[in-house]
Amino acid sequence: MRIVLMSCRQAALLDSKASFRTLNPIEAVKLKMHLKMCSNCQDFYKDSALIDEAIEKITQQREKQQMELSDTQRNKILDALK
Amino acid sequence: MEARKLLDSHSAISQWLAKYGDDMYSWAFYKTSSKETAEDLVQDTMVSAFKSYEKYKPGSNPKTWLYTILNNKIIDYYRASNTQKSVNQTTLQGKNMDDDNFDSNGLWNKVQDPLWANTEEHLLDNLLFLKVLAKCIDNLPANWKGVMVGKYIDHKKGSEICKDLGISPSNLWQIAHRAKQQLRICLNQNWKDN
Repeated sequence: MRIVLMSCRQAALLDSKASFRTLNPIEAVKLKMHLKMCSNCQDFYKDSALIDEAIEKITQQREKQQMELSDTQRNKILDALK
Repeated sequence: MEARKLLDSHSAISQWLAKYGDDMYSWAFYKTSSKETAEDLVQDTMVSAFKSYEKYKPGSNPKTWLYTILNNKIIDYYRASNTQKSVNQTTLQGKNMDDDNFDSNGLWNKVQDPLWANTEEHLLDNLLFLKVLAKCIDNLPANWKGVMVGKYIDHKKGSEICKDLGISPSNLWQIAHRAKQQLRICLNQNWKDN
């Protein structure tokens, strides 16, 4: 079964493309039709959005994480200044 | 004269290391999620600052100057991960993975359980889920991570990420596509086992 004009592989790639730039009208229409017919790709798109949100959340958590250089590492850096 | 200059720059860098070292280390770790890489990047930055100390404008904010160097080092680190060799490896890995995911007609081969369908709890509030995802991200190849950093941490445009990493737009989409597939598989495998 061919899922209208576009394979699932192409549909998944367009998800990635769309996160960097606007899809052209033809791509957008083809993708919309594909998604209407394909529940696996619907699942993938929902998961993809969920993972994006989760990554944003992790990123915010990590930004606050304060780290400390060990004394050994500090001395190593000072030794390297020559 | 020369010896005095050297002494000046040495004492300045030592002071800056004491004052900004931890912040720089935290920043580098945030961007690379590897302690070793972050340590190396801070060291490289300090050595570069020491060597080009005469370029520092007295009176300007040393932290800004150091961070400019550090950020360039981070970009260089990710760019280096996109050398021909590693791109080929990625292509190979990606191809294998794509072959697993899609059949020869480009249809889903191995269908992953949808994560979103989990109804017990909103996944974004599930700390374990986030922890597993963080681990999955850390395990991505460095050149894939470079794309993630550009997109999610720096919020850069695709064209800028391509320029930083020295890759083409279609390369960028492919890498982001494979990273997303890989993360979904990793979550399905590791989160459910917990």
